[in-house]
Amino acid sequence: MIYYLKLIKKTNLYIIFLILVIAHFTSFFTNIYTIHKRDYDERILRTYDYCTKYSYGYINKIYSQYLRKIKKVYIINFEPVPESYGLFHELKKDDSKTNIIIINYKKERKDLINQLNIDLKEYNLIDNDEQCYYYQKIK
Amino acid sequence: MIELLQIFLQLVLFLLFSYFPFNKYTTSISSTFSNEDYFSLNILNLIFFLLIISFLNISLKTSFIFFFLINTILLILNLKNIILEIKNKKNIFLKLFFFLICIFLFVNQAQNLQLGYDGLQIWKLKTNNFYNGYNYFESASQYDLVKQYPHLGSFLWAYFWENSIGNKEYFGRLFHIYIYIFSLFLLVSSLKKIDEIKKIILISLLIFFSYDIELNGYQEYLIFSLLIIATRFLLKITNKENRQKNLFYFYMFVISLILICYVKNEGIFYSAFFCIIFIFFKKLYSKKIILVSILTFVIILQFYISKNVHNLDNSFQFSLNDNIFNNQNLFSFTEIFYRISMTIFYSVHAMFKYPIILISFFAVLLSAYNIRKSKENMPLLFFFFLNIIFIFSIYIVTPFPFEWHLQTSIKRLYLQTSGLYIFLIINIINKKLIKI
Repeated sequence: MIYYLKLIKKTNLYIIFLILVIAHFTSFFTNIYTIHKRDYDERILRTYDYCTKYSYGYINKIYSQYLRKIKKVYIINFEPVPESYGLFHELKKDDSKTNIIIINYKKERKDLINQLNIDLKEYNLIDNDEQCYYYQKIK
Repeated sequence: MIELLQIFLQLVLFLLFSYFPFNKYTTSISSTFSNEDYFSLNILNLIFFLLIISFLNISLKTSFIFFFLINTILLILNLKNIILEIKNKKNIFLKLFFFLICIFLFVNQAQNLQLGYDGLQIWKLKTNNFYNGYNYFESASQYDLVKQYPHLGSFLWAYFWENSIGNKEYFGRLFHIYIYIFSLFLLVSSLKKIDEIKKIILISLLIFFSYDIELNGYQEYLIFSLLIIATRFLLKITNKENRQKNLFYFYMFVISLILICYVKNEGIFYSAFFCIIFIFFKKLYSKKIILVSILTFVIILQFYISKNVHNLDNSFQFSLNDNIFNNQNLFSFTEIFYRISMTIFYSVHAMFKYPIILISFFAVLLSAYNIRKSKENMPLLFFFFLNIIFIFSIYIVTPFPFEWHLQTSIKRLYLQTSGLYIFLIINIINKKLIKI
């Protein structure tokens, strides 16, 4: 054992120490544990939330249930964060506003919907979860 | 565990694409052509071909299979040599460190999936465009909302996403990290007569001082890396020892300048600066003409596409129709003074956000002080001068809310060029003007 320990040069020890420091700073071991524990879908849901901020989880649910074929939706987010379209590689902005997803709805700012020339009386509420709503235009 | 294995295999794939088709076993450009030179050549060639493919109707899968097959065949043919190369103890720690640091940052990326503001709002939408099979000209697509921004980074993202083993979005972004780490190794490998441990420490410091997970999805690290590669080859061309290999270095220099133009809008300016430097500091008239012609063509092509293919009224975030010089308010002395002082203030702020910026300013001061003893630093000092004028000009004429624009972009503008100024210190160290 001592023989093998003697083989480890001083320089090698420095390098091993440095590698361990970098591993610590990049949270390597925590990251390995997290990736092992949580799959990609869970991690992305935790990153973009279910029905707050980007509301990835809610949009994903509506997309899977109703929008798989048409792949178009108009998303109104009451939070000042980037639009969530980019999170779904096939999802396009529906300029005709036939399908609307409202996320992070705030009652005190409901005039935002009017500013976008949307009259919710012309729509059916299809789904609702917390502050997230999915509306479809009445044909 | 499967995902970790996929990350590992993705790194192996990047290494395969960097090691082949050109290396010392498959080609004989020059016996003194280093491994880093071959790696750069392969990476630049790959990105350049992918840039061409982005304009054509070739699917991401088809082109990948083509490159993969060629590289795999070459790997099999040279397997013996490759095994010997891996077993070779020369620079073994550096090689191991490269591999480990890639794994560390890849795993870090896998855990931190959140894209930055521009990453999600601009670059990811462009990526989706390519991932869904559209090419650059297919503007019928509604995914890309900011067509005046260049597309190369997004195309690479989509390419390695589509062709990843895990088929997860972030796998595409791993290539940006890979080329970033490679560029830092390239930077440090320019240091002569320095042992492995010091190189490893320097690389670690550079990563600590420049890497920011908040820039997820941004193109800053890609342009940062390409600028380092371009600078390395500019310095190689200007080095008298490399006369025989000048043509290859010139080729790689030109290719990297073309690529820089397609990563970000400001890349066109950086390429133009390099072009000006080349005209001023080199006496090779034929190469000057070739470089100027190629870059002029690339820049005009970009303007043409913006104006006529995408019917855009603006480019570089400024309107092509409005005359900014009509804005009388903008050119009042007090306004200019205010804008310059605020830009200086936020420049200092940027240095604390990314210490590599502070180091780059220090490098400029140090090389300006030693300019008589280290004249090869002149081109980079000239680049710094042009870049500072460029940055201050942006914020003097910006059509956006001034402070917002300053707060959100100046640190990134400094960051993307900060890497190349490290060559100033490297030149000084190589000249033994300072010791490490």
